[in-house]
Parts: sequence; structure tokens; C-alpha cells
Amino acid sequence: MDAALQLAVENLIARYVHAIDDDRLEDWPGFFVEKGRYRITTAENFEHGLPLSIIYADSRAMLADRVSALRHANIYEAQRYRHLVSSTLVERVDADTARATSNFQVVRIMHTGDSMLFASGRYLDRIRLHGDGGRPQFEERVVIIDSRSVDTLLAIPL
Amino acid sequence: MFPGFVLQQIMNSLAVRQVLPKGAGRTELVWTCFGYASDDAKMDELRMRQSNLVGPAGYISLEDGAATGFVQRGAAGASERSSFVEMGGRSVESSESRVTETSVRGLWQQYRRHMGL
Repeated sequence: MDAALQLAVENLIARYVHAIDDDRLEDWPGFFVEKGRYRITTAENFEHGLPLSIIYADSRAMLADRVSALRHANIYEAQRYRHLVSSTLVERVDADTARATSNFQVVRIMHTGDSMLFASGRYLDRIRLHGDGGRPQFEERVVIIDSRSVDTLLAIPL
Repeated sequence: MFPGFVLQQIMNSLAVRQVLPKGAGRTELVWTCFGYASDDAKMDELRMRQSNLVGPAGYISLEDGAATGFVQRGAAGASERSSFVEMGGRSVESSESRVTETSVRGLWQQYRRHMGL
């Protein structure tokens, strides 16, 4: 096991979830390469090979659009997330690339204080180890939600 | 089993929104989006991008579940009362304006016909 690689990947994922949980959504697109892909789908769709996604982006620009929509267009009850990420398995693909699979759970906390386990699932990542500024970035992040349903809405990305 | 769905068109993609009541305080909304077997990879990609408009994180549909949730919560404390807004008139027909509940009227009028009410 390559400990340095494991730590670098875990650090990327940790910085990613902290950005979302801290409401630093403007930092979210920067975790991806310019033509980075991000999609959220259900385990049911994934297992059946059905491509429909809850969120789909194939560029950093589309991610920035989504942040802009959340900040300026969409209306939804104030809420925050708390991610728990665990069991990250990392596999080196080549000198510049690694794959990773991690489990996640996301608690959603409404402005009322009501908290619920909003989503659980796994992240399937393809990571460029030397992206902008020499730091790892996602070439692709597929978020697979275990459940076939989402409570009320999904505004903040997972 | 009464038609609890809306068939819609987003750009050039068809989709179905299906309402599944699960109880007095709970409803599931199922989105099904369609493509054609003859679609090439570029068309698939286009449909994937368009799908951002719909679903639980949809740019145009994200608020729908929350809005109906607000109505549910608001109506809970007024079970003895009723109110009615005649949006777009009383008929069931196409309209110049999107501000109409013609499809809701159509659904309930058909329902009454089927149920002999």
C-alpha cells in the first residue's frame, strides 16, 4: 500500500467535503479539472446501467453554473450538510492517476435544527494527482446514493 | 391507478412525473426520462445535460417538492376550512398563458366521470 498516495487522496476528499459543509460552495468547482465530470445517481440506476443522473456535469463551468443557481435563483429552506466519509480504497492507475472508492453518509440539518440522515452511498473517483497548483483534482466523481429516493429536494451537491 | 402522472417535454426530451401517494402525509414523485434507441452518443450527452432541469435537484423542479410540503404544513392546521382559486377559469382547454390549473381541473372532472360522482 502506497501510504503517501492514500493520504493525498484522503486529503483531497476531506477538503472537498469540508468545503461543502462549510458552505464554501464557490470552492467546489475547483476540486475538479477543467473538463471534470460529476454526477449523482442512484444505486438502482447504476446497477441497471441507466444513465439518468440527479445532477450531471461534464465541465467545471457546469459546476459553477449550479453554484450560481443555488446562490441566486433557486429557493429552498435553509439547510446545511455534515459529511462522514470512510473506508477509502485507493488504487494507482498510472503515474498521474488514481482511482478511489469511499463510503459516505450525509446528515442534513435544517434551519429548524431538525437533522436527518439525508443520504448514504459511495463515491467512485478518478483523480489526477498533479492538477492545478500541483494538487490532486477529480477528473470524475460519481456519487451513488444507496436509496432510490431523495427527501424533498437535493439542492447542495453531495 | 387513476392517471397520477404528468407527461412533459423539456426541450426535445420527454419525461414522465408520476405521483405515488404513500399515505396522508407522504407522497413519492417518480421521474422517468426517455431517450430513443437510435440516439447516438452526442444525443445521449445532450439528454444528460437537459436532465439537470428536472428531478429532485432539477433547476426548474427543485422547489416543487418543498413548495407542496409548505402547503401540506400550512393546510394541516386548517382541516375544517376550504379555499379555491379559479386559476385560468373553469374550463379544461389549452390556454395562451401558463398561469392556469386547466390540467388539474381536467383530472378531477375525469375522475368524477369515472367514479360517477
